[in-house]
Amino acid sequence: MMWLAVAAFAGGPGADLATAPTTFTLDNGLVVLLERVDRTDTVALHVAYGVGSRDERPGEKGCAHLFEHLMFEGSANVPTNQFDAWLTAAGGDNNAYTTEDETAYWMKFPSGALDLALFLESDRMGFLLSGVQDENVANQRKVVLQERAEGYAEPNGRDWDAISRLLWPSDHPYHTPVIGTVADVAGFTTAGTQDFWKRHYRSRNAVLSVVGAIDLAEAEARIRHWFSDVPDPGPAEPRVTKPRATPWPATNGYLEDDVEERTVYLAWPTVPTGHPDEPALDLLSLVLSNGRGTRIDERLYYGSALATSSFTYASEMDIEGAFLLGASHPDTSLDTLARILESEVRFITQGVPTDAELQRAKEALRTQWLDRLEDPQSRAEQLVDCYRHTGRADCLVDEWQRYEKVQPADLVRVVQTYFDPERRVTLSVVPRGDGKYLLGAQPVELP
Amino acid sequence: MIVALAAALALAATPSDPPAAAPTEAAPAAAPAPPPGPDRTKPPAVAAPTLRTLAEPTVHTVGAARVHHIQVPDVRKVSVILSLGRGAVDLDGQPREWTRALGALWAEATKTHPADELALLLDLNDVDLSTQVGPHAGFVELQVPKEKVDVAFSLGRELLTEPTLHKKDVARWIRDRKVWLELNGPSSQSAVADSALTFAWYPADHPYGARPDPLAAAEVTSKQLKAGFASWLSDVPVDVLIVGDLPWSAVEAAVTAMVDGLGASGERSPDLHLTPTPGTRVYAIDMPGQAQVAVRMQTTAPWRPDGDYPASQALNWALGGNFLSRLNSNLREEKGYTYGARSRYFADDTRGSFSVGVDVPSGVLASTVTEIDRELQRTVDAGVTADELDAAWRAMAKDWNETYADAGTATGAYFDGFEHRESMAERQARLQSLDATTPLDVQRVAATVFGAETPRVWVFVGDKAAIEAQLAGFGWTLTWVSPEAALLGTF
Repeated sequence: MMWLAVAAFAGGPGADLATAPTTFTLDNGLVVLLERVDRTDTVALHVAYGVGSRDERPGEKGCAHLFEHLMFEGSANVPTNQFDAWLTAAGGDNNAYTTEDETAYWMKFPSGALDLALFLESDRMGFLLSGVQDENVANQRKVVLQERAEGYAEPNGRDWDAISRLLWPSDHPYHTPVIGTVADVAGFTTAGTQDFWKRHYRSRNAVLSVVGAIDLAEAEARIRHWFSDVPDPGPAEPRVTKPRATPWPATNGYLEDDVEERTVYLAWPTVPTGHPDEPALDLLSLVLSNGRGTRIDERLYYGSALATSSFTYASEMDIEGAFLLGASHPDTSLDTLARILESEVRFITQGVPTDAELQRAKEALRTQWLDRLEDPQSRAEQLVDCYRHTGRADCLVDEWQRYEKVQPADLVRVVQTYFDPERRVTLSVVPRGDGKYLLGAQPVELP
Repeated sequence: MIVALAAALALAATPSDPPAAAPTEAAPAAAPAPPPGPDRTKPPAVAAPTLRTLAEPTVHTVGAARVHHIQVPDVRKVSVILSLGRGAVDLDGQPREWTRALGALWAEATKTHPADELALLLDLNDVDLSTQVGPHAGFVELQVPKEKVDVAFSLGRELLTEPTLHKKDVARWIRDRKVWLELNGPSSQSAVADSALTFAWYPADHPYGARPDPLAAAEVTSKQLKAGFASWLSDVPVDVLIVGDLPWSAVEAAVTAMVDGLGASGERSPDLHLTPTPGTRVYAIDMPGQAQVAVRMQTTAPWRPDGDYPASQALNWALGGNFLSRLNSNLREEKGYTYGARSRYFADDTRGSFSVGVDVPSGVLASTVTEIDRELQRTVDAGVTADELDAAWRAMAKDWNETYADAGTATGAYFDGFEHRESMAERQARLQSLDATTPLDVQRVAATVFGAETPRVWVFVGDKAAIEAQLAGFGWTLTWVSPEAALLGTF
């Protein structure tokens, strides 16, 4: 999916949000993006490292995410638990997230706390290791396992992780869910996590943005000051960048869960972020399912009672992406739901989307981007993500043009190109003991 | 530090180095000393926050309606909120299934725009639209890019005068309601826990505790909704709140057309009181096979107009309102029992409550309850620290100063003031008073909120076989409830 940023659309509403930030690169390789926003008295900081679950070696599945937790536990000049304590005492807050491709950290704080925030962020970027102690690692192992348990306890809480295991073969970097495996997480050692940090947490592997109530020249000076002593150990460990070389067979799995409805998912591998077909796939998703009047929702939900919910999701990641369709109902057979979902995708090639359908999808997508660009915190995130994927600081300025030029025929083409029946992945999620999953489905294990 | 160390080593080495060949040219001037690296020996100082002064809305009388307008500079969207000053309590004594359906279906279609056309209109014009029927008022909220604000006004008019409330949509609502009440709701641990807490707190005959009624839901009709809507609109005070970067002159004509002929005199009916059931009541819900236990606790707390409101906010912030709060530090960071523990302070004009929520593995339930009790008692015995108070003040000041981040944050702040009839100056003064709140103030509030005599409800949702013995150790009288009864409040 487009990195939820937006765009120049020649003078249209919101065009003034699609601007380029001030940018510079420090001697240690850290790329910095700055923008001033005066609507608030606060500042948002976002830093993303090019390390995610795909970079984990055998035996360290879940380490990228565990490390996200450890980054708050202290560093050489920030005693244990004082990262949060100092930022919180200043009125700031923060959090982080891990994906298959990156680990990102954000802060939001009063403008008077800029030095404090830069001190904290630079200290953990350059001098984290003394904060990675046995006690912290042991506790965060427990917290992560509990995070997994709480998520899995909710109905349909395991679905996405199960789909990942079906979509990506066992040798693929995306095969293991970001949260990791119980055995690996439980077995993480202090030395092992320190080694992970040394391999990936480097200034050359990070992009930093600061957006908000700042003076640009002063902010640049403060960033240069605080990050001046962050060492430059060179490039991070090379990443796996290529998808598997051979086609993979269709897979068909099922989960039993504490649910009352059955749900079926259909999924196909697609394209990575930045691919020319990314915009058409994103827009196809909205043409098929985005509320009343869209094709799948009308067929299964509004126009009939065959499903209690239906959905699509286009997800593009750094190596490759996926397109998902799904529907739920307590009584309708999953075979019926799957057949209708697939037929609506195929029908795109005969009932070519109208200009009105496509324009509606574009407007829906565009307003999401504009909303994200307006809020300083999410804007800081969009700046980093856009740079990370294009290597250009001004990438927001023309990003929307990729989407604006999509035509109905492009949606037909991507259906013909990517929705190969031989590559279809299906997941049935059924109540325990129900047994009414798609014919031939095999149980999915989440170790 | 690395730069400084390298320079020191270079100096130390110089005397023992072999003499260099005699220069034939003048030696170059020494490079200027690099700037000193950052001082990492202590965290940089942070200036105390200053609250930003936020403008007051202006109130215009337009026909029989009152229009509250505020121009917020440089935000992209405009919010138009229509508030109808009668709600489910006025319509039928308390929220009923038909008033729930009305809130959900009100914005599905109008005579001018059938459902498909309306959906298209909303997407093409970037309109966010929501409606609800609350106990004392109904709302239509529209948010649009400011260039398209006329679409919001014209849609607002349609929704006030010509919603269709079609049979087919009613039938769909009935299906969805049935699936939630009978299937998906009872299977969700968090939904069961939250419903049980609400219904344990509010008696079935209190309007704020109105129970779901599956039989009544199945019998909701389009005719019933249309009649109810017509009756509602015939005698209802109308207020409009407009928040965005548009001056009054740019919206006056359109808002006048929107509310033309609508609105009655009078004020919204007052909020209702609740006398909580005395003592401690404990409810446990059996969900066989669940490895986790959802824990919820609630007590009474000061109301919003109470002078202790700021101290209550600070108490909540320190106990479970931020990542470093006492509950989260104890149960997550120290013990690793949970992914997150939190508290919540809710207060309006006639009621207040303090609640705690956490999910933990079944095996540590008893320890979790003990730790929660311990943290509550710590606030009773010693209040909170001056540092915690200062951090609470700074965090809330930061939130206040973010009000104009976008139309959504601005609308939230001004709607809150509108709902509670408070000016921004009053709200700012109350927030400022937090800076003068003392640990003793918070301790006094804690003694009331968490005192032994304060009404309290506990809810536990988990596998009975795994948790019953642990709960027995607390000496409570337990009431076991099924997930279905918890969701419907029939216990």
